Amino acid sequence: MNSLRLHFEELLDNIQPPEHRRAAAEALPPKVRSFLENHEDFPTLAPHSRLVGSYRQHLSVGDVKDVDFLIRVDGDPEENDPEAKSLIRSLKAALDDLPESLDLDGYADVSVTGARRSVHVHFLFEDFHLDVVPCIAPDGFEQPIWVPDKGFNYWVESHPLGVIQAVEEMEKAHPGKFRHLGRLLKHFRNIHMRRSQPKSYWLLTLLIHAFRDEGFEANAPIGESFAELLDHHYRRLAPIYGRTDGATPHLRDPMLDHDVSWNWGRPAFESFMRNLDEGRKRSERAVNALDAGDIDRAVQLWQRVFGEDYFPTDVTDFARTKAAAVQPGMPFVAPTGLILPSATSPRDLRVPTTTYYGDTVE
Amino acid sequence: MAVQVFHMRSKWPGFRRSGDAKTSTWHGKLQPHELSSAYDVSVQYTIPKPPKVRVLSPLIDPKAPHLFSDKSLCLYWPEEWSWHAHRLLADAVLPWSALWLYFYEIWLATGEWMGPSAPHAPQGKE
Repeated sequence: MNSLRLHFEELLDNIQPPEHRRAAAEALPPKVRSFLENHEDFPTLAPHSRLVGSYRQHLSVGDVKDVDFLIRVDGDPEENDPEAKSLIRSLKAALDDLPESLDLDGYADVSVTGARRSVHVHFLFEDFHLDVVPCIAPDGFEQPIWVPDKGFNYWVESHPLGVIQAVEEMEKAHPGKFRHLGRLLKHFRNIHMRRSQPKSYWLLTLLIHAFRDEGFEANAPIGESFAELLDHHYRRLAPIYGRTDGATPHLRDPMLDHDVSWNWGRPAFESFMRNLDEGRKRSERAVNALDAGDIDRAVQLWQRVFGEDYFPTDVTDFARTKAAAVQPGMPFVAPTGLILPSATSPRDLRVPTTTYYGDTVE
Repeated sequence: MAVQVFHMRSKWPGFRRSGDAKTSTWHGKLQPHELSSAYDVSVQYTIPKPPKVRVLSPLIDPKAPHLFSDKSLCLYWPEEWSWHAHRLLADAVLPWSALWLYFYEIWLATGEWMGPSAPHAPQGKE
């Protein structure tokens, strides 16, 4: 039975960050990192900086416009030394020199603005943002770190590399599912929740808890797994949604266990739940339509879940492109049967040339 | 048979064998794409006959191209290639089966077999 695998493959391709964005994400952060590492008035500590966030987690969707990186400084977070809000201001002051420095490299129109826990650098011409997050990393980036909160004027604990590792472990345990479901969920949010969006980190927290702690398994084809995931999240949060005292979820950080959704307002939470409910029902109808053999109806319903611009009606051209890359004699096959355009391991075997033979004999 | 067993064990460790020195059947899973289902597959080999590969589940659409009437997969064109005892299941039959499933999923979605194809009628390669 057609599981709409190719439709979902094309959907996932369509929500990938476009090439020019990926190029910007490769080219621009090193320039800013290098600038800061060499800045006299903003001393940093080796190993100085590290890429983090959804781009580094390989969970970016759509027009990825920002990349996050950590910049390491010396200090004692529990003594608020350096003072959290002062550090953000110092970082901003240092980065205010960036436009002039980059102008020499041909990058005009760079704007720098301070935020609560970071400084944004906006490359206007490329419409690309960098989020520079200062941190104190007493035991290096691989262990929990501290980031300054300008609003509260203290340092908060965080473990972004732990999250990256957790994502990698989850993907290894659920290959082809964890990251794809994470990206589909973000895209679903982007399509349906344009205002008061839940933060990407909350969605990732929900996802990690579902797989790691709540027994969620994505054994079904990707569409069905997505429907099950939305249902899982809805049911998990339903008791809070059903309360009448303005309660909101307190999502526990998957690494450090503290509350990461403390500022999720009730109206925004209710909007999220309404969208989740509609999404899970529509997804279930799409799955049922496919089970009943009504592919056209299933495609229509999935287009309402993911957007007509992203979920394709016809996949023939897409399939031709994919098929052209794996004609016998060219691809490799892994011991799981996975067909690969190129070998990724010494265990992968080249698929020899052949010609498949015969029409079905009736 | 010992050579076949050795190569299957080392290259396709997920496949389990039953049988004897003359006839063996291997059962395992092939998943041609990360978004695909994992197909339960059996490979039956009786020396010196050509091996037969069947997909046990999920059920293959009986209208799919490149299936024999006994539901085994047509993996090669006899005018181009033939089986003999020195061929290795692990190096040819299993890889072709995985790729067959890849093209099968494309056929399900588009109605076209997008791999190289030769019909039963003697008209040559398409």
